Amino acid sequence: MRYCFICIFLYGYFVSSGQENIPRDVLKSALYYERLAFEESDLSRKGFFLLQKSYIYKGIGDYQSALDILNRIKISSRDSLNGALKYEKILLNYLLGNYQRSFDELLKYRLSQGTSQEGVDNDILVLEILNLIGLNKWVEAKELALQNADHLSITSKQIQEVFSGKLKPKNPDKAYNLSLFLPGVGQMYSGHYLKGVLSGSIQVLLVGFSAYSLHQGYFFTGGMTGVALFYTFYLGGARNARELAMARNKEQARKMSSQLMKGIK
Amino acid sequence: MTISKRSFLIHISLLGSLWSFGQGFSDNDYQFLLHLESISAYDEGVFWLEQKELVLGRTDTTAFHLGMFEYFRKNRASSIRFFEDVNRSNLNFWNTSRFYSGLQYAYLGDYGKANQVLMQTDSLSELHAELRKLSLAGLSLLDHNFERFESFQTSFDPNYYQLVDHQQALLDTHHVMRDRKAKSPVIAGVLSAIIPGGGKFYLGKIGQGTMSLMTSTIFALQAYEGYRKDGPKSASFIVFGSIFSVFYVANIWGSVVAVKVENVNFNKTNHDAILLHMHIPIRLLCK
Repeated sequence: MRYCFICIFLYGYFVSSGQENIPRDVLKSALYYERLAFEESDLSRKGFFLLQKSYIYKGIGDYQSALDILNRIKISSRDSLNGALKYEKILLNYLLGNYQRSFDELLKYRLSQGTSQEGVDNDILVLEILNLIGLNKWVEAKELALQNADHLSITSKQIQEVFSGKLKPKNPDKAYNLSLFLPGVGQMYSGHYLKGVLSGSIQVLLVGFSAYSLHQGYFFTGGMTGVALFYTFYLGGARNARELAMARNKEQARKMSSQLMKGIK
Repeated sequence: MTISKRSFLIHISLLGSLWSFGQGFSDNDYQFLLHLESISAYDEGVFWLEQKELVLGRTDTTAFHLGMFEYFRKNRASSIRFFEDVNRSNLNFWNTSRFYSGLQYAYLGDYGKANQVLMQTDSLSELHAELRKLSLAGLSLLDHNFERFESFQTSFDPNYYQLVDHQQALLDTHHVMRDRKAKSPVIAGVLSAIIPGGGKFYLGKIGQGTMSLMTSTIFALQAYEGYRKDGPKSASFIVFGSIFSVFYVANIWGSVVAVKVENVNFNKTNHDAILLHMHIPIRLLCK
């Protein structure tokens, strides 16, 4: 069931970003829980009410507010609420795109569970795989998914399909340097062959124009228009290659996460 | 505690809260209100107060705190409207709302109204009287009324550590504004017509001026090259000559605009500084 919620919240994140007006029913419910927490002296129950309030904000896609509320909860390390609290922090950080933070919270959760726990917590496992995908650690994500295919109710074949593409993320710096070395190659490395050919061709033409102008004695035209334009396209092309590599990694991670969640459902 | 017990507790407590909505403003309510402010739950605070007003009608307390919540939410006009409903029966609410209204009118650029609201403050302590003087001096500066500022500034009391830095900051800003010689758009345009980039040099923007000069020179040299080698009817002369002409005219126009932008930016920078030094002490001393 929680997998469904993750999908719903992922959708909610995209449709509700920039939302300003909070529905009145939401405010009313949130206020009730805030009041209950305010009047409660027992830390555990106070934490429970704040957790309920956090669910309300999570429900409308306001993950930052939900996380801020959770950060106000102060309970002892032995409180039974700890598991739910840590899970929510992992989930909310993931939904906010703070993959490293979410992963760190996940490690803290694992540490707090200790080695005595038997079995595998599927919700945490799914979030760990999703975070690894978000962090561009796709090989580790695939291995973890394959190792726990039975727990996740997903077949190895489905996992292979999810991770069917190349599992090595594109390195944005490498794309930048490749385009500096040979214009257009960085774009090709990032998976955009047509853009690579176009960028390379423009720069070859500009070099040709500069050389031809200089050869014909048009020193100012060749030196200033030709070389200056080439230089602009040369650096701009390299920056474009870096951005394309980053965008490709992001898109691939999004696809993998989406397919994985469909498979698990 | 099991979840079922917890849920029972929640329902009982929720009923209690529902009941409390229908009642008056208790001490506990007021503490809760302050709590909402302390956790920056402004949306919830406004909603809660609106619910209270449905039962109690508008009171000084609801109007004042609605004004404060709207101020925190940066809804200045709405905040001012709520503050207007605060009356003198509670002097603390009255004076605080006047200071915040004055500040927000200043942010909205209505200095006359800000001045009028600040003058409504009443029975102030010595410290708050000094704060009002500082605020009025700030308003005079915002209004470029240097004479009025100087009349306030001469009576600044330097013995309040909460205010002394802000008094000095206003004095510094006053000197900067008073001593500045405004740049002329006409001179900038003429200088740019004589030497491309001259207007930018006049404005003190050496980098931009050099860039304009270089760009114009580059196109002029290319146009000259086309003219020298292929004559006045050649494509290269026509293309580069046209580009140079466009750059030359645009550069003159750009210099004129740059002076106007520079004047606006100068005022904005100083206005922001003045508003900041009015704002900080009000936040510090009006609670």
